Amino acid sequence: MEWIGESWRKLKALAGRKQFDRDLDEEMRLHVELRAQEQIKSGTAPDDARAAARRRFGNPTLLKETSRDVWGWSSIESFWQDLRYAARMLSTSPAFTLVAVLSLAIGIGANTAIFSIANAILLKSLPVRDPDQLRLVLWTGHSRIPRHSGSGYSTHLHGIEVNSSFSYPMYKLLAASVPQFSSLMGFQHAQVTVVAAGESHYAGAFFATGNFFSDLGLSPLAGRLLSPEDDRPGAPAVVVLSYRYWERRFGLDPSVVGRTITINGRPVTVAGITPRPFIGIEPGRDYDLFLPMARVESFGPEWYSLGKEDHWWVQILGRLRPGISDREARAALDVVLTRASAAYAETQDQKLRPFRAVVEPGTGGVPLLREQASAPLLILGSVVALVLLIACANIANLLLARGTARRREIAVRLSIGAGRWRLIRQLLTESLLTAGLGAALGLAFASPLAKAALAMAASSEELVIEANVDPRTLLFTVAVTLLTALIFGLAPAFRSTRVDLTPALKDGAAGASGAGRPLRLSRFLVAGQVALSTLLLAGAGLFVRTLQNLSTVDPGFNSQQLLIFSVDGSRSGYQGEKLTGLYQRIRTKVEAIPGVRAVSLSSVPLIGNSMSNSDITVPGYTPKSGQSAMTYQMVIGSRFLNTMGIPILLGRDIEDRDSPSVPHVAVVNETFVRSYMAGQNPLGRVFYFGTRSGSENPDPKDVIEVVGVAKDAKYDTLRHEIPPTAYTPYLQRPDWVRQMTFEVRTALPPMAIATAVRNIVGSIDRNVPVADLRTQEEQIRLSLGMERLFATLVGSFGVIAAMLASIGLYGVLAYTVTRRTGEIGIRMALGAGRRDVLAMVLRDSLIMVAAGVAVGVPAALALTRFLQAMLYGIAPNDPASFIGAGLMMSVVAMLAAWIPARRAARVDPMQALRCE
Amino acid sequence: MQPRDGIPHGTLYMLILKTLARTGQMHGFQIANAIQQISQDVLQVEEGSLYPALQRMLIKGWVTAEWGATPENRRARYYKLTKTGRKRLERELEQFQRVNQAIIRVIQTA
Repeated sequence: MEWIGESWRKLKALAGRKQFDRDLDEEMRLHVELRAQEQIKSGTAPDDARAAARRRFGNPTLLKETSRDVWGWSSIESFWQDLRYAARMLSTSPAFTLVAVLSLAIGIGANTAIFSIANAILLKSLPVRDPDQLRLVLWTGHSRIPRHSGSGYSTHLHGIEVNSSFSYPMYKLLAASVPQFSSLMGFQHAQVTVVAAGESHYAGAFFATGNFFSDLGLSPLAGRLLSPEDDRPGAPAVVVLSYRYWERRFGLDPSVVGRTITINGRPVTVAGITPRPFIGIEPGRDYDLFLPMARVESFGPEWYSLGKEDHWWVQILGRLRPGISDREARAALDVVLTRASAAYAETQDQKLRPFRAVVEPGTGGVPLLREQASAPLLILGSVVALVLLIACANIANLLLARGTARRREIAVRLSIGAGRWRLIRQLLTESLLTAGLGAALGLAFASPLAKAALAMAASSEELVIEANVDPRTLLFTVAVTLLTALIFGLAPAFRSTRVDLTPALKDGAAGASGAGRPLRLSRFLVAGQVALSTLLLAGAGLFVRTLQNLSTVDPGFNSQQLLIFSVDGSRSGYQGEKLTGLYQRIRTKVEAIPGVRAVSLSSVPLIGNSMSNSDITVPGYTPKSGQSAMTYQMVIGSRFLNTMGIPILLGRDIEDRDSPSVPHVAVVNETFVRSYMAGQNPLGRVFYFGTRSGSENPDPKDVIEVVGVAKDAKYDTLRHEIPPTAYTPYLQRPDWVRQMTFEVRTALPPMAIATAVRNIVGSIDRNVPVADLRTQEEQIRLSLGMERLFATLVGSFGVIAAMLASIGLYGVLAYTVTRRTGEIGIRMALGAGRRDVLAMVLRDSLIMVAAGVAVGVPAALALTRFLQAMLYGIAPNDPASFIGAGLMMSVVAMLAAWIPARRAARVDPMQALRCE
Repeated sequence: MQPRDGIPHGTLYMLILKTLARTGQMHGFQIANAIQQISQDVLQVEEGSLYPALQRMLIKGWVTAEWGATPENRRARYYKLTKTGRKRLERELEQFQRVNQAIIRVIQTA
């Protein structure tokens, strides 16, 4: 550990370097003087004494140098010297510096931004104690076993489907009988309605077992967190607020702790606030409230049952004991799971294959976004890497040209004895400084860029991800910066220090000799830039056209002049007829707002990324073996299809007369008819939900009669083919009614009545909040977030890349023209016209561009195949995108070539020849 | 003038450390003189080379330096041994003696 103190002393001394020199000087002078005095005392003549003393002392300059070397300053000092020289060199050519620093800032900034998002989603550990010990406990087995497989996430690992939800009794059993885990924590989330300070709103609640906070090792920011005592039946109702929620809703007011708020109509005491860095264990999902698991039956949906064995909804996070391997833990879980699932199977009428436990790393929490985010991140990561590569090629090119211009300076330095390595180091320092400046600027806009990208990618829900510049991201940026500096700086540094001294010194400006080689490299680099830019532009074209296609696809309903909002009375104490009555009252009052043409409601908004589907039985239709008839279903209010502008092709819309007491009806779409009632008159035909064998007679109230056929319309997303869909009246399906979305067709701009809508719902019951109030067009726009993100980002980067490539081309041509002025003069003197000269330079650039495009297009064709899943309405080899990319690249390049070409054409032969 | 020998390579640190250990704090000129006097002028520090050595010892943390005044009221930098320096001296002495004895044995048997 000695070196630590040593380095510290060195560092401290570094700051007082000047003082050090003075001290050493004084010390040595004193020494010599004292020695001389000694001699004088013993009778030597003063001059001789001084000379003798100096002789005895040795060479003070050399000794000082040696002393300074001892402190290891010389390398730092020479680096500092290089840096200052580099700064001077950069400031002498501001145009080059500006282009280089800006293009690097864009490249490095974009790479940092994408990395910070990937880091937050894929790499970051939870801010809890020993996150490496955390494991997600999952299971795999026969799919669709538990009748209510509730919430939770399922994913595919190594090709098998893996599920995350357990029944609560199963959780208890595991927690009690698998000692390989020091803790098994159960959790699940749900939406609740909160009334606090006279205001009602929806909030995300997280239900956690009592050991959750203590076993994660979290301590409260204020008050206390949930404990096992809170997680008991009959314990006083308490809630813990998340920091973000506390900030958003209560303005960080510390007196909130101890206060009572209302959740789903019940009073609950605020016990404390979670620490700020903890935003949950599912990156991407935000929680507002933390409630004890024991309270889940009061606050969660009805299938969150603590007692029922066939309700599967609890997710499990485990903390592995030190020294236990994942395999041992899984084996221990398996023993319990297999026995329990066999016992469970006997209570069910289906045959069950036993479950097998799966243990996955839980260091970063639940990888909710891993599956869906990996591919986009990979694509965006490749795009920004390409942009940086293009920027590197560009700067390397400019450096090569500059290196040629600096041949004289370099030759002078070489000839007065500078080593080649020393010069290379100097040139690399310049590259490093350029890259460093670019990185500093890039870092400044990395965070805003990441935030903007996330905001755009999130559809209607907020994507809560802490994509900040943390140490890991910073390390990434530093590594990228160093690598970048090497990539663009190394070749030019070697190239420009290989100078033939004599001609370089003789020539005034950039001589003609010896410049051929760097130029060949330059032309190659330009072609490479054009190729990469073409690739990016082709990708951009595909994404832009995908967004265009989706934006203009006919959804099958009229999305204009339509306001939507959601209300959930079920969480404010409304049930059954009271709930439908509430919705009826809201509808009637909203209908009365001036400028409202029609109002209806539905279980989910259209193009809202949520849907429900169900197996159905259609008498007269026999599904293929192993399959069943399936339909998407939407529970709607009367005149919904009319309000949405979905044409009725046959029969009628759902109407007010379709009350609970009359036979149940449905309107189905064309695809439904085509799939299950092809070639027959669907009106009057019946079907029922669920699958039953032919012999079984359904309960008459489950039988649904088709009373109308609607034109096909998009349901949950614009992307998918329209599935068979059945619209049923919500009054006839009271069990399915919870949250409803209202659709208001207006004559005015829709948002003009937003306030009126809020007031109406508030006046009916101020404890019932209005959520997701927006126009239907906005809803559609939000649903295309990912597509917009890709079109915007890849599009902008494509344009930036094309511009960089053009700058590169311009640089090379401008340099060539300067170099060939004499030659052009001779040509013109011999009778070449200005047009010929213009054509000559343009032809020269055309060769580079054509070579680049010729490489870029096939490369793009090979790569865009992987984008297939993200495209809509076009093939990955969409000719328009490819031709467009090649064309755009060529046009931009030719514009860049035009300037030097014009300059070449304007050469005055007389002057050019005289200069030569 | 009797012949003077240079200081064997690598022992300069030990000599400085030993000198400082005996006398407390000294400035450079005093150290040079002390080494010379104690060795009865046989060993002579090549005077200037003292200073780079002192710098290295400062870095290593064997000595500390402080500016003070000489009896003649001249400003001088005084060096003092640290705890680490004392330990270092013991180690160096031990090693030196071990090597020395080995060499003497070799010479005597020869």
